[in-house]
Amino acid sequence: MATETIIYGREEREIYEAPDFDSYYRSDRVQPLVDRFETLLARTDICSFDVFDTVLLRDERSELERFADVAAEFIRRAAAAGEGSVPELRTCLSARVLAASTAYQMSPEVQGCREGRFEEIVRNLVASLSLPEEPYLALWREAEFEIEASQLRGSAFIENLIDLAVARDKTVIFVSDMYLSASDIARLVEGCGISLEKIARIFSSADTVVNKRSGLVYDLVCGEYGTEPGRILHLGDSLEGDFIAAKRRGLEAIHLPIPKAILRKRLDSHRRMMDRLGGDAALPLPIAPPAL
Amino acid sequence: MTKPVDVLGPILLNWIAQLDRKLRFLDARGGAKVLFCSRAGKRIKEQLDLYAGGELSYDAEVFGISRISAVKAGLGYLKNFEQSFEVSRESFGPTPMGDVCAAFLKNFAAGHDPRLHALKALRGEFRGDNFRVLLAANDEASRWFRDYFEKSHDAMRRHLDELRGGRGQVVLVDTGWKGSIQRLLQATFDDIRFSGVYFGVMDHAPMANRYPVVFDALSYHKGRPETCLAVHRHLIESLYEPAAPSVEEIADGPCAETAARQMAAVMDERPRPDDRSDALYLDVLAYTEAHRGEPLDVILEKAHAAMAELERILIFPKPEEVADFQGKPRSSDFGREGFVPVIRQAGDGDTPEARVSRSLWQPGQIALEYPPGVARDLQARAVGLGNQANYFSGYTGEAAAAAGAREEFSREGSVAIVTRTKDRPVLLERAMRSVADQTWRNYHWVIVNDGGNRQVVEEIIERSPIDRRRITLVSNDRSVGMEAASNLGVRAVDTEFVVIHDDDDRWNPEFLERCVGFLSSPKAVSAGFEGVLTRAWRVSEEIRDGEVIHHGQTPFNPWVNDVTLFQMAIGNFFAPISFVYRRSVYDAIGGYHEKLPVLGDWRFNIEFLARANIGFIDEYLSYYHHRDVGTGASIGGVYQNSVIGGRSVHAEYFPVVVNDLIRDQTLPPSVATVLGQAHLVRILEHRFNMSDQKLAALEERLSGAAAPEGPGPAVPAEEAEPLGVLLQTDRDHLVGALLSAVRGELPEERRERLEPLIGKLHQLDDPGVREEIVREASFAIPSPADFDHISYLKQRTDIWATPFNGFEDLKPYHHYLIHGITDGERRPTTG
Repeated sequence: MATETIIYGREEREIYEAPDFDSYYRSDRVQPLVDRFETLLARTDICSFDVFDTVLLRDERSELERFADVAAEFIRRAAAAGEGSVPELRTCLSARVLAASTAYQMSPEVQGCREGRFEEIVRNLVASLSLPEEPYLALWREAEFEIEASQLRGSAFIENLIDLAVARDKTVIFVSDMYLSASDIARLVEGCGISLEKIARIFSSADTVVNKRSGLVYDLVCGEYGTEPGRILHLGDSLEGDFIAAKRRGLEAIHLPIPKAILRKRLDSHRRMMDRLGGDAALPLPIAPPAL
Repeated sequence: MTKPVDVLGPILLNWIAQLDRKLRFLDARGGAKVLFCSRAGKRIKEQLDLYAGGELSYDAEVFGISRISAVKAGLGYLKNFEQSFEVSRESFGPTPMGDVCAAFLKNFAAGHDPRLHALKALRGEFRGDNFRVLLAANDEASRWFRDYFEKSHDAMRRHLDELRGGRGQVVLVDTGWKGSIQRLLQATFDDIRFSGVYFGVMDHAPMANRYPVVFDALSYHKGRPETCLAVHRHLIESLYEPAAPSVEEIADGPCAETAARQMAAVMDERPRPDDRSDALYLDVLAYTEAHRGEPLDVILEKAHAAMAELERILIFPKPEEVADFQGKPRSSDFGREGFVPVIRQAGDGDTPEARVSRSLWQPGQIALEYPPGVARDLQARAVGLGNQANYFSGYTGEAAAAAGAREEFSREGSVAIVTRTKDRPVLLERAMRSVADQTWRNYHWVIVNDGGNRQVVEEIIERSPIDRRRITLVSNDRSVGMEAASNLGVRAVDTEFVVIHDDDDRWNPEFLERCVGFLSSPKAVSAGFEGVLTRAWRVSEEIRDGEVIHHGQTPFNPWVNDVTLFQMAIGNFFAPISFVYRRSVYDAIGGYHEKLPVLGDWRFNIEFLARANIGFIDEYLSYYHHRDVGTGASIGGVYQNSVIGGRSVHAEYFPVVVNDLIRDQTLPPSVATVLGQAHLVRILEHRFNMSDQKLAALEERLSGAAAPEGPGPAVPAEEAEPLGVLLQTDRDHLVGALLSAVRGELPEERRERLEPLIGKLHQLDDPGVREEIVREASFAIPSPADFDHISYLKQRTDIWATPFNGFEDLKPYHHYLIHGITDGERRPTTG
């Protein structure tokens, strides 16, 4: 009698345990992952990628710290523009977080999905700060774009996979659950040096409202391209949205987790920020810490 | 002592600041008309105006509306009959139709109007079917009644059109709780888009575009301080309630003058400084004015700190705090007049327990009724914290942060799910879905392919929407048997908990979450629970042409309410699919006994209970499937159940397991004693069964030709009633019997027992309430003519020597109502 034990998810585990993205994606250990990609690619017509933390890699800052950087940049720009005094950083940051929370709570539902939109978030936060829309809407918008762009970089590994898919004559698309519109995402992708010529289309939940987490955006993609779910291969970092929801919808999928060490640093960053923001009592901002 | 405004001022300023931001958002999305629903809306808008310095950036005004006026609009032309009736029924309770008609028409009809008298004379119960008939009838009184609702509907339409001035979106603002007015108006006027922004929401039914600002919960949850307001929501209602009656009529409707007068009373009311609640409201306004210029982060921070203090006050109030935080008496609405006190005064003849149960703020009443040491424990229980008064430590956010920081692959809380399979792809695919659907994600799924086709198993794994890092396949080229396969699976990974999920069974998606939550709870740890069992459905099915055909489900062993070693020694009474346990106990036992081809799980369970306790979750969270219908491969072959297909093997190995256990030196000697007693119980049970069968045969012969179909309960299979729930026939019987008793002649003592129960008749589905009613009022509940006592007593030999089989008030029918239904008994009927 012979017993064999097969442990699944070896590649996913190695990425997750790596100290950072590069130490896995630039090592020889990446080859089994590329092989799996090629096997699945051969069965499909469309190759789909998540954007944030897949095509564009974020650094070790938490979302909260990034918003704090945006708030600081906004205050700097307002001062430079000679627009008089604006509230303090903690107030601007709180307004950003609360406006996002409101947008996600109150945006109209489409098939059970809600999505905040950047324009509405910025408009609501500027109103919350009792500032006039002119010129503060534009000042915040540009501050946030600049900070976003400075904290993102393109993934060379994913670029190679995109090239591989293009070389195999596959249609390449990006699908993102994000408050930024497809055109805003395109601007950030290009800003990170990735050519949009290879990309047939970008789907953002800010435009479609239906999202990856619900799986409905995959139905939308299938409908738009008139293809069966099994002819699409999707890759991304979110276990729920990029892998489980895609598999439930019948797509082929590869999960590319964020290294735990990076998540831990983002969690530390989040906690540091919360400590810094708290005064005599904690400041209960509605923003979740990164999950390990 | 903390001044009330120091606590409520920051909280209510933050609510208003957030409300303002949310209303701006909705307005920016599509031009909203914001309507502040009277009565509370008047004061909410007053505070918001103060916060915004009189310059709201959206179009807003106070809306003269109430639940009863929204109902009236919904009843016009029967536009929204179902919801309107439902809200009315909830508000009026069990009451004669005539009283309901009078309440609806109280502002409209002259007292001497013969049509009103005709309607008031309707003494039938207010039910949906007869109310609909009344609204459709063509006698003069009914037409007049119908016309009132139609005019109300038309007036509400005109009023809404006028208020919104062409805007497609109406945003309602109110204190909240269910958002009934929004639900009613949305269903009645479906061309208008209604949203609602509320202080709080307490409702299990979802509703589109209903937005709570401060809390959204049905009850208090430790760690979410804002939910303390679910314990005493009346505090908020009281603060914002003007000293004016409800606006029950509609502007320019059939009672236009009354509507105008009621609205004017609301708008012109002035909070009275000599009233404690109004004085607090005035303090809140002063706080709002003084602090409205503070940045939103400072407002938020102060509100957060104040909420922690409010949580302490509302859950564990001190006697001296009750007067400040109780609020004013709650005024009745929905066509009724009068006030309900929040805190009950001593001296009215009630016991402290009765006063607490009727209080609108139970922790506050407890603080006044009991000494502090006792009160704290009772207050904790009243809000669902169990008897652990020290459990409460105030909200710090640390618990939530710690939970959030737990790593997704931590050993703590991890579960090994072991699935043994062999060439049953149809069932394995279903088991995979059951695992994939679990809301608890910290598991490792180990599939043990015990000599079957490996490729088929791998294909199912490749298709699975399960994190690949959580899957291990153990593949044997030849079968090693069930228990050895279990051991291979359990030992393939290291987790805190273990469960065997056979390839033919299923779970509810919350199964693991509930079981791990139970085993990780302080209660389980202190009681020594190292395993936990849930209730299970027994599913009957067959496999036909590669498809699973479902034939129905019944509660599996519904008599199980706990797990004892003694009961387990008599025989195994649960399936592995319902049982999660700690790996440490598995290790102590040494795993499943591999020499046993069957009954390995029974032996394991006895050894488990010899070492540790098993807790019980009284919910149906698992499905124990049996292929017991059909023929051929459906019952036998690869798809057979071990308990169906292998019954004789079970009998063969039964003494082997018992003897081995008695000889096992590693087990405490008491296990052998328990097994010996269990043996005697089995003999007795066997004898009783034999006697029952003989008795049944005798009865059958005695009844002779009169009962050609035998004496069993006459329940044709195609007409079988659902089990485990109160049947409509019994509901009607109970309600009818009690109402008829209370309306008839009764000794005073019995009347006093009966009257408080009438208000609980709508809760008959709650087994606890049903038992209370049946026990208290058994004298008034005769057995229905069609209830077969003899068959029921045959089913329930356990009640032969109890009061339920005696000559007093309690009868087998009462036992059926109290115990039989929840035990899953079928209702036996004669004829």
